[in-house]
Amino acid sequence: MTVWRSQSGGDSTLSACSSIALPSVGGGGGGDEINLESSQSSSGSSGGAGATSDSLSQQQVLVDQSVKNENDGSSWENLVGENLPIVMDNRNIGGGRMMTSWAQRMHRRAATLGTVVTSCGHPSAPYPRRIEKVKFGVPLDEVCKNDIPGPLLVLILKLNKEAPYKKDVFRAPGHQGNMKKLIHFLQNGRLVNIDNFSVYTIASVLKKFLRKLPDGIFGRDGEQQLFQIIEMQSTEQQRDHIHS
Amino acid sequence: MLANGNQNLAAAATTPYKIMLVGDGMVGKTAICKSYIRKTPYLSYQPTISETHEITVSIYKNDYVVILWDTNAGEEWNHLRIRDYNNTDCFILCYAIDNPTSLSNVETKWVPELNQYCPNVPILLVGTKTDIRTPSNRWISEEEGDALKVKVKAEAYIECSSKSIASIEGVLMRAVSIAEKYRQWKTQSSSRRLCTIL
Repeated sequence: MTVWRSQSGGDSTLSACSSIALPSVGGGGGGDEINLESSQSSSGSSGGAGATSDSLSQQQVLVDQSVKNENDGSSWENLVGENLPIVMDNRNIGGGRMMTSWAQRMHRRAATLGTVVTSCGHPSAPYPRRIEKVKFGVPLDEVCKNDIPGPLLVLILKLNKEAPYKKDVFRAPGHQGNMKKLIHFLQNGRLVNIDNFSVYTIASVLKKFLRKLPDGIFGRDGEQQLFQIIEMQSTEQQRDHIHS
Repeated sequence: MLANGNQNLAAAATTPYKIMLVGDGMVGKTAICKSYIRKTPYLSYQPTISETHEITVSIYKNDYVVILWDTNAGEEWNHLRIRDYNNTDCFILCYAIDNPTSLSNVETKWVPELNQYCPNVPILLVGTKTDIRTPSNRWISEEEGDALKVKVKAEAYIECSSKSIASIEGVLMRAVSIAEKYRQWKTQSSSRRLCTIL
């Protein structure tokens, strides 16, 4: 039920990385509107579970309001940016160590992406209904004309976040039906809720994407170069060639 | 005794049955194979690419020579696996009872694939890893397996655990009897077809 959308700008990326995940309140979870609704409806009823969820959502609403007051005009965009980051805890990665520079870079990229996948079941106004398409079976240069397509990046980030805690992620087969669905959504640029798909399904979809690249990841020339580097004698020479 | 020996010879003289293990990855196809051959539970895990084992299965003192094909499950090996399919007498289609994904893939992936490349070849549906089923956990039940059997038109449904050799033997005996029936049906239907042409 996470909506990954973020405000663009340098400083917001930091807050995105430290991640304030939405507490999933009530049945709906997801967007702020729903939280408001659930707090209103549950305020009538009293009881153990109801009370806790009520207080949770109350907190949430308070936070929301404070944020709203801070930046009056462009409330929605900023709100979403503050509360719905690409959920990545520092502690989730590498068991407490700092993020690698690659991961950091990717997170920054993701945070500045205007149109990233996923939405809750309520495609309301602020979210785009259509997003970038990911083509299967075309060369990598064409897929990544500007950069990695947002939806694909989201898949990678989801793996980055959850896969280290699971076994045999790239070995175990994904759910065939869901894979087809996800690929269909990616190809057509439909919004998807990434939480509905298991890590194994996503891994299988990514594998399929890579497999469908006509010339492989490196392309024919790149592969040739790599093979040449393997055949070189000295380690220094190999290193220099790789870095050149 | 003599009659028995003759029967044995007759069984051995026919071409060995080709039985193929298919199913999702990590459900225990190799475990079925190796446990039967070694007669001890096979517990290590190593992804297979493609292996064949020649084994003998005895049913009612008749020995049947079976070539058991252990396949890989990955989609990246699809084209390789499909080439091995022809002339199979029986497919052992496995799913793990602790893995609902493998159950649904039986329906969405494996059965369509088998029906496409080997129509009419009988399928024996097998639920593996029954040793982990306890009354408390709610893994895929036997009834669900039976329902799936009907749905995908498999010949039979049977459960096994690689930790009990008896259940593995049961699976293979069942597979062989299905394969034998299929052979008979095939020769009958082919001779019938011949007659109609003549």
